Amino acid sequence: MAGLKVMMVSSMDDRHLPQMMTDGNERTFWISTGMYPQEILLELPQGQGGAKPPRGIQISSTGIRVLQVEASTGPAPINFERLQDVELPNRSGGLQTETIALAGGSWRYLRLRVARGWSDFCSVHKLLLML
Amino acid sequence: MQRPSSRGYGPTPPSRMGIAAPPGTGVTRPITGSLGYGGVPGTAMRGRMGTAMRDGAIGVGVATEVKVADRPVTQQGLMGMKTGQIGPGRQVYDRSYYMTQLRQKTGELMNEINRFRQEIDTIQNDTSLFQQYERRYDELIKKVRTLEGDLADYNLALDKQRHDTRPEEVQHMFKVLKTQNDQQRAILDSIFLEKKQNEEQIASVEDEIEKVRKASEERLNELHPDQREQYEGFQNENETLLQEVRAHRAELDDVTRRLADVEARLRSDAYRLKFQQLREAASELQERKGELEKLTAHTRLSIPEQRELLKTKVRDDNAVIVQSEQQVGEVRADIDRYRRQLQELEEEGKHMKENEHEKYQLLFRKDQEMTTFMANYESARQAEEEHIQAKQSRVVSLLESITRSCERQAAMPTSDRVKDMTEELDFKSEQLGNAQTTHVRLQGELQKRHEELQKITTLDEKIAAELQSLEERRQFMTQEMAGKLSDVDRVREDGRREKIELEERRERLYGRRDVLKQQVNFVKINLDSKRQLLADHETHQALETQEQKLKHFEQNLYHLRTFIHSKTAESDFEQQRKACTQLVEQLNQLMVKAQTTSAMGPLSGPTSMGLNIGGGVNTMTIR
Amino acid sequence: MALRLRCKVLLIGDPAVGKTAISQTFSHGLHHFRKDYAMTTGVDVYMKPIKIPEQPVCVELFVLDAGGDDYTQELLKPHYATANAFVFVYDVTSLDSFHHLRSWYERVQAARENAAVVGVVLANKSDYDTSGHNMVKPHMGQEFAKARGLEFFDTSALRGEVEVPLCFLAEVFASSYEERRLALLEM
Repeated sequence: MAGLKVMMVSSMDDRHLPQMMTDGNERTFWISTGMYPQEILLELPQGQGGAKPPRGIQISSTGIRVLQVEASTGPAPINFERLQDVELPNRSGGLQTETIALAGGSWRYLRLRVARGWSDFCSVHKLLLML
Repeated sequence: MQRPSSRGYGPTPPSRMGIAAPPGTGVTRPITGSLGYGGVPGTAMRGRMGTAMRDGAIGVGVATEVKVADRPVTQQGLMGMKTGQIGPGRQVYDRSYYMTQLRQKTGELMNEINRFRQEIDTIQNDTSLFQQYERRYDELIKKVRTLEGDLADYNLALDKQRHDTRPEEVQHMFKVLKTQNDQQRAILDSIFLEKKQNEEQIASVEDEIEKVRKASEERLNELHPDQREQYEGFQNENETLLQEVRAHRAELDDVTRRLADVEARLRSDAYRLKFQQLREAASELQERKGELEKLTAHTRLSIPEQRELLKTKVRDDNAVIVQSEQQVGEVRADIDRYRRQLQELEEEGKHMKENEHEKYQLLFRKDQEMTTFMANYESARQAEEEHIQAKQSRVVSLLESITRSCERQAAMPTSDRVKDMTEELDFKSEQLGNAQTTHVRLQGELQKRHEELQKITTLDEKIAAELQSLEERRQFMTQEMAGKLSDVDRVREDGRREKIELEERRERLYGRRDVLKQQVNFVKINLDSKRQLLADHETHQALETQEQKLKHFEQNLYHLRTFIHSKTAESDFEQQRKACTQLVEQLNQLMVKAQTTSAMGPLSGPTSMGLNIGGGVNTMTIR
Repeated sequence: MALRLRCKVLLIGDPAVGKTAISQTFSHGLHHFRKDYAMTTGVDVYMKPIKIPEQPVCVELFVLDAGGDDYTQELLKPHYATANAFVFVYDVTSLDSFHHLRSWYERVQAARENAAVVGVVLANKSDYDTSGHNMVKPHMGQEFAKARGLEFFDTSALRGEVEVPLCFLAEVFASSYEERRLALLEM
């Protein structure tokens, strides 16, 4: 579903653009270029009156060990609040799928922070907003 | 008793007291028996004695002033003895005082006696020691004498041996000496016997004398007492007379001595001497006078008588001359004889020596020559043989050349021919030289051609490769041309697409940049505040100082550690020690091997030495 | 279109083996070499980008250099698990520093919960002559590295020979990134 905009990623490989996380295709992905923490800054679509705030976010990734979910309400993507710390299992390079529930609130920006990984590089294949 | 005026003897005798007190003063002072002193000591004595008396501590008080002057003594026989004391002397002349005095004296005397006894002892010890030493000295002298005798014998033997005297001579000499010794011993014995005999005789004579005396005494005793008295009177007279005789004799001796002295003096008197000289001169002159008178008498004689006289004189003189000439001739003959004898002996001696010496030298030289010859015989022989061979071969070659040249001589070309031939030879040699140089040059050229050939072959490959690559590029280019470049539209499309892509990318990147900047700023603010907090925190500051100190200490520690490390590395002697012990083991093994291979006993010395070396080194290293 | 990879490298070793010298010489050049010993307090971070030859890839090496004593190494412990590569350094003149490498390696291994340890073993101060009998011989270092799947290098910060192992690490990192990427593509 559209609406999720990737504002910033902490690693950039031109062959694996951040948009490939939100294009719905699991075969295209974004990969980190080493070291942790890595951050993905998302802008949530603002519902225009009546639209429900998103329930959660689904993430397909590899190599992520600890994912920290932070959200911010403000007009600028600063002052994030830690929502949860999610530990993902080690799939030895295989796909990890996880659903992160977002507590209610008028969150505008979402920051996904890969605090630790299972290997040197992690990748995110799909990000899906669940309403 | 008033002290008599001491002007009699003026200053005090220095041998006695040593104090030159003016004599006059003594008179005025109260006298307390201090002879020769000034009065001062006397008063002191008196005072002290008085106090001592009063205190009752007699012994102490009195003992402190024992003065020699107390002894009543004569002053060299010039002054009388001073017995009493005038004036206030001792208050009470007590028995005890005298007793103490006596005791003192006895004590002194005892001391002196002891001292003398000690001295006697020491003297006795010394004398005994001296006797001992004398005895030892005698013994040693005897020993020295015997050793000297031995030494002389040895020297003699050595001397004989050096002069190569034959043993028979030595034996002969030995026999001679022995006989001499025996003779002398015999003489000694005889003398000894004689002495004994004489002694016996003396003893016997003395005995007889004794006997006779005894007999005479007995006889005397048998005599009548009157006669006895007479006899005794005579004896006394005899004795006195004897004494007188002795005295007179002594006087006589004395007088004669004096006479001799005087005579000697007189004799040595100058005048006497002169008188004697003059007397002698006078006598001489008298003689001369007599002679001259005789001569004059002779001249007064007639001529024939004079002639007779002269003739006899001449005859006498001739006879004397003849005699003396004979004597001279005899003496000369003797001298010649002796001289000849001496020469002969010398020559003999020299000859003998020379002969022997020469012979010995000859033998020695011959021996050496023989030995060297024998040593070098082999090599010399070989050398000679080779020499001979060489000579032979040379001879052979020479013969050959001779025959050849003879033959050639038979076929000798003319001089023109010779010239032609030499020219030809020169020409040919020139050509040869040229040919050689061209050969060398050609070889160089060949080398160069080889290298060029190789380059060309490689070049060939390179060209092929380049051709291929060019071919590929050409194909690629043609393809491109065909594909891309010909299709301008497509190219345009591609360009546009690329441009769009790039612009998108740029946008993305810009966006990313902005967001990142924002994030970074935010995070930076966070960081700065945290940093500030940290800097303000006391604990942090304390930590910082501690860390600085730690750094400092660590630095020092590091320096010290490196220093220690380098020094231990320097002083590391393990390698040297290992090398030393290895070397020592090797040496020991060699020694052991040396001993086991040789079967001689004396090698035990070196092996033990070797073992000691090992032990020593080991102990050294352990230490 | 250069791809920038980032690699975290930790310098591990006994005090005064030359870790700071290596990192400084590597990042700033030979003229930064300091012969005297200034204990590193805290953790120093040096960054240097290394271009991989014949690839449009640039690896930024983040070299974390801490002191060798236990107190300072504590600061580095959290990074044991998250580091991408390790550099084990010992001093050829000190046998102790070489023997302690084993315990260092085990500590790292324990912190990483037996995950793979990618790294190199550096024999630093190789400008010294190693023929003495108190020196670490090269074969000892090589055997140690081989047994643990690490590469062995002789380095001398004094002479500035520190590039090679770190370039090696950069290349390894780049190749592992490419591998991962390709593996993910195949998925």
